[in-house]
This record gives sequence, C-alpha cells and structure tokens, in this order.
Amino acid sequence: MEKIVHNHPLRAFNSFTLWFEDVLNKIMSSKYNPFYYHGALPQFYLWVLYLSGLLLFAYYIPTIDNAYLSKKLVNAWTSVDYINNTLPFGAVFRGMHRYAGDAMVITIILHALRVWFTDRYRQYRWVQWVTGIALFLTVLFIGQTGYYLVWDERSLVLTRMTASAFEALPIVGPGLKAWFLNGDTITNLTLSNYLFIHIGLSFALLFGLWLHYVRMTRPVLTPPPAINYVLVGLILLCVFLFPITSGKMADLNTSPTNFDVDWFFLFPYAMLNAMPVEMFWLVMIGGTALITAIPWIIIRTPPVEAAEVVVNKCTGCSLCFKDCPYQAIEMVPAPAGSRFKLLATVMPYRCSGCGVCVGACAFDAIDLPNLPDADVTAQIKALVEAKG
Amino acid sequence: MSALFSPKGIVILLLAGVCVATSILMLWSELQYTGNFPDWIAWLMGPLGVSNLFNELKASLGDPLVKQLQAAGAQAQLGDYGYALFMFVALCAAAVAIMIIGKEDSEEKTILPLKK
Amino acid sequence: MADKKTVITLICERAADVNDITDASGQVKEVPGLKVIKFPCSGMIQPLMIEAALKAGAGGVVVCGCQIGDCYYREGNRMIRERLLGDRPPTLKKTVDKRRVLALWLSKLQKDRFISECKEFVAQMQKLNGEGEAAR
Repeated sequence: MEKIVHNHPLRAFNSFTLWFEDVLNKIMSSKYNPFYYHGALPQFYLWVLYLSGLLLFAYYIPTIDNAYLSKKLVNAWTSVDYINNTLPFGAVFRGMHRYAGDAMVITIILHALRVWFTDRYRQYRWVQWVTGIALFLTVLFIGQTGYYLVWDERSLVLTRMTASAFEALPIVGPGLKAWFLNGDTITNLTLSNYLFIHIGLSFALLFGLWLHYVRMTRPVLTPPPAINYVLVGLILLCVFLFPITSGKMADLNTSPTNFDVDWFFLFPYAMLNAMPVEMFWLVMIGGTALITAIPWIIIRTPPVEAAEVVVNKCTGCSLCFKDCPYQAIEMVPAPAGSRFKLLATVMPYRCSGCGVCVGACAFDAIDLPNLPDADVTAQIKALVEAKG
Repeated sequence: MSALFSPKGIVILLLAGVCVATSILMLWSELQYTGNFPDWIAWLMGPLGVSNLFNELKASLGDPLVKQLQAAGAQAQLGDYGYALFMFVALCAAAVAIMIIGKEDSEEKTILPLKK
Repeated sequence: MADKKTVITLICERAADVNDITDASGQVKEVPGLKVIKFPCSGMIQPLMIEAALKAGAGGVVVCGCQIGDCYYREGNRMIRERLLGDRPPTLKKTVDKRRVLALWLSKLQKDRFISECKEFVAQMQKLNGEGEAAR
C-alpha cells in the first residue's frame, strides 16, 4: 500500500501542494480552505456568468449594421456601448461578466493542476480528466465568441483570423468556415450565430458537467458562502481597477491588425500570429491529444484491485452502495434461494480500492483483496496482545 | 452578550462596521463623491494626530492608481466604479467575519460525545 | 499492570506521516504503548474494528484520517467521522466506552501534532485504567 505514495514521480509537486494547503489550513481552517473546494470554484463562477450574462443578453443586439446609425438604429457595438455607458450599473455587470470568465479559466487551471499534482486524475478517474479537458476547451471557445460579440475592431480581426484558420483545415475546412460565419461572408447572420454559439454552448457546459460529475457520489458543487463572497469581491476589485472600455466600432471596409490579447482566452490568436496555420493546428490538436492521454502515459502504480463482495454474507442492506464515493457499487436482485432481496455488486472499472465500502459494512461482507478485514482484525488483536 | 465583548467578538463587530460603512460609501461614490468627505476625514484625523496620513497615503498609493484609472477613461476622481471597490471591501469584511465565526466548526480532533 | 495497556492507532496512509517514527512491528518509537495499523483510507475503518480492539484489551483507539475536506478518495474521512459521531450507519455499539476513542484529522505534514495528541491521549488512558483499578 505504501508504494502508491512513495513512488510518486510528482512527489515534489505533491509535497508543495500539501505544504501550501497546510499554511492555508492554519490561517483559515480546513472548512474555508479554498483548495478543498477547487472543483466548485469554477462552477461558482459559471453561475456568476449565467446571471451577469442574462442582464447583458436583455440589452444586446446581434447585428453589424452601421449604415443607418444616423437614424438611431443600433448594432452590436452601440448596444454594448449603451450597456456600458447608459444602463445603470451596466458597466459593472459587463466587467463582472468579463472578469468572471477570466477567473473561471484561472480556477479551472488551478483545479487541473491540483488534481494532477495530488495524483487524482487517473485510473477510475479518467472520465473526469477527459471530460474536464473537453469542458476547458469549450469554455475557451465560449470566451472567444464573447470577444467577437462586442463587435469592436478586435472582434473583426479575431473573426477574420478564425475564419481563415478554419478554412486551412483539410476536408472539413470550408464547411467549418461557412458554419462559423453563418454564410460565406460576415453579415448580420454571423453575429446571431455567435450569440447562439455563446449562449448555446454555455448551456451545453451543463451537460458536460453532468458527465464530469456522473461517476462521483455527492460531488462538491458549491463552496461555503464566505468563500463565494470573496470570489465575487475579487472580480469586483478587477472591475474597479481595470474598467473595461470598448474599442472602436468594427468597420468591414477596414483591416485593423493590432489588438490587445486577453491571455486567458485569446492566447490561441497570439499563437496564430506567431506561426503558420498548419503548425497552429498541429500544436493545438496534438497538444490536446497529449494532455488527454496523460492518464495512460504516466502509469506508475499497479492496477486497482477492486473490492469484492462475499456473496453468502451480503444482506443487501445498501450501506456500501450509499457510501461508495465513485458510484462503483450497484444493488442487483439477489440470486434465487437467497434470504435477502438484494445483493451488492462491484463494478471493478469504477472501483478505486479505497475501502470505504468495507467501513460501511457491518457484516464483513465486502473486502479489499489485498487487505481483508479479517486480517486487519487479527492484526489488531496480535498488536494488543503482544506486550512491550 | 459577553461573547460579543471578547477580542474575537470585537473583531467581528469591527468587520460588521466596515461592512456597513462601505455599503454607505457605495452610495457616496454613486453621488460622485460629494459631501466634502475628505474634509470630514481631515476633521477626524486632526484630533488623532495623524492629519497628514490621508495625504501621504494618497501620494504613495492613490496618485498612481488615479492616474491609471484616468488613463482608462475615468471621469470621477477615484474612478467611475468606486462602488465596485467598496462592495469588494464589504464582501471581504463579511467573509472574514463569517470565517472567524465558522472556523470553530472545523476540527482536527474529534472527541466523541459520551451521550448521544 | 493494567495501566500499561496498548493504544491502537488506525491511520490512513496519506494522513500524518508515521513511516519514520514507527518500527517494523508498528510501535511508535516516541510514544510507548502506541501501535499503528495503516489503511489505504480512513474510510475503510469499521466501527467493528474499534470494538474488536477494545474487546481484545486495548487501552484506547486513535483513528487518524486526513484533514476534513482533503480525502484522496473524496469522502472517506467524513464517513468514519460521521460513523464515530453516530450520524451514519454502521455506528459504534452503545456499550463502547467512548472516552477510549479519539479521532484526529491531520495532513501528512502534521506528524508533530500527531505525536503530541497521542502522547496526551495515552496518558489519559493510563489514568483512566488506574481509576478503573482503584474502583475495583
């Protein structure tokens, strides 16, 4: 059993995490240690994004027309300008939406680093790792579409860069470009498509999150309120210190080239600027594949030895089924001739070998093959009786 | 009642005061920081013997901040979104106060109750 | 010699690091009379095991898991904590002397805290044994 901890190639990272969290425990106690809610932090920011986004959605107009501005017709840019400068508290909601997005990316990265450093992403956890990467990529793309929606000069540059990057892909390229622009060129339909992608994918995140949580019993979804206050407070501080200003309205007849890079969302565009498009796709797709494969590349522990039910002792009481943290136990109808109605059955591919089911069983009816509870009890007795 | 006047209780009361004060400051910032507030601070600082503290703080911390905010297009003297700052302070004060109270629930040692 | 009863520690191998302070038989070098059995997770500890230890004549039982909130297997330490407090089945039998059970939730780095708490607990248990003798 010791081998799991002591042959850890990431031991230094693990020790650092432990040390850091120990310091936080001393300051704010384990109950308020934000790293003990690392997965719930981005989830909380998602709710902040939904709420602030709802207000923005009420005033946002997804068109690019600017030919009739003199007749007080509005387009995407002027609607954002209205939110920013006229709507009471509009600028703060817009800023919160922007910075909550950035904060979500930061907290997702912290979450990923923590599960990686503490070795909590492999084996029976592979579903969470893979869906987590898919969720992260989706969040990045949603954030990028948010940058297109404001329809300033940067939006125009990004739209053109994305369209040409899609076009460069073999086979699917032209189709992707037409899907992305919602036609062959940039029109009003393009922005309504962006709005659809931005909001539609945001709700698709909930489906991804369901997959992310489905193998976990009682997932931790919400940090304690005190932590939530600080999380909201931090984005408000950003709103005050770095107020958001719109760029110039996009004009299809111009070709702006320079733009400020938001490193949390727009780093792929910095990459696109720095390398040929083929190289870009190679790095993006290859990098994603590599990161996705980490749980299978770094194999250093023997496979989990799943818990085993002692069929003739199991009373079908469901306690192990309720307590299993990985949904690895299901209750099936007991075989014919049994005195009981149900029988616990372990799904070995989900089992972590943690033994919580052993602790939940009052009938010694479930065992870890490498540490049967009879052995433990015998060892306890031997230690008590051995004097000295 | 006596719990309120323990050192911890006083810290919590102070934080609650900060929370209320910054909530009022949010409104004040929305009123374009009028009401001669700096004079009020000076009046308070005088008897305390730290009358220059505010000016020194503003010179060392305030001015660079004000410059940056004005570069971002701020029209009011402390930025247009002062209430976001005050709300940040209010939320953090509330959070710290709640944490001080709630910390007692977390435990590194559980002694089993004799009667259940 | 009733006051020299062994105290058994049931500990998660990821909680307070006892590898350097125990000998091969599980005896903690700095605390005489304290012996350690390691588990993959504190959630594996059955109330039955605690009862078995006390029945076999152990002076007391220390249960040690990781910091609440930081179980490697998600919620093992919460489970055993709730079982000890009687909030989650299976619980300890009513006949168990609850004074003889102590639970600690310490991270891998809190070895010193583990030793000091255990020293105190072992001393308490010896006092308790002495009282038991005197009453007899």
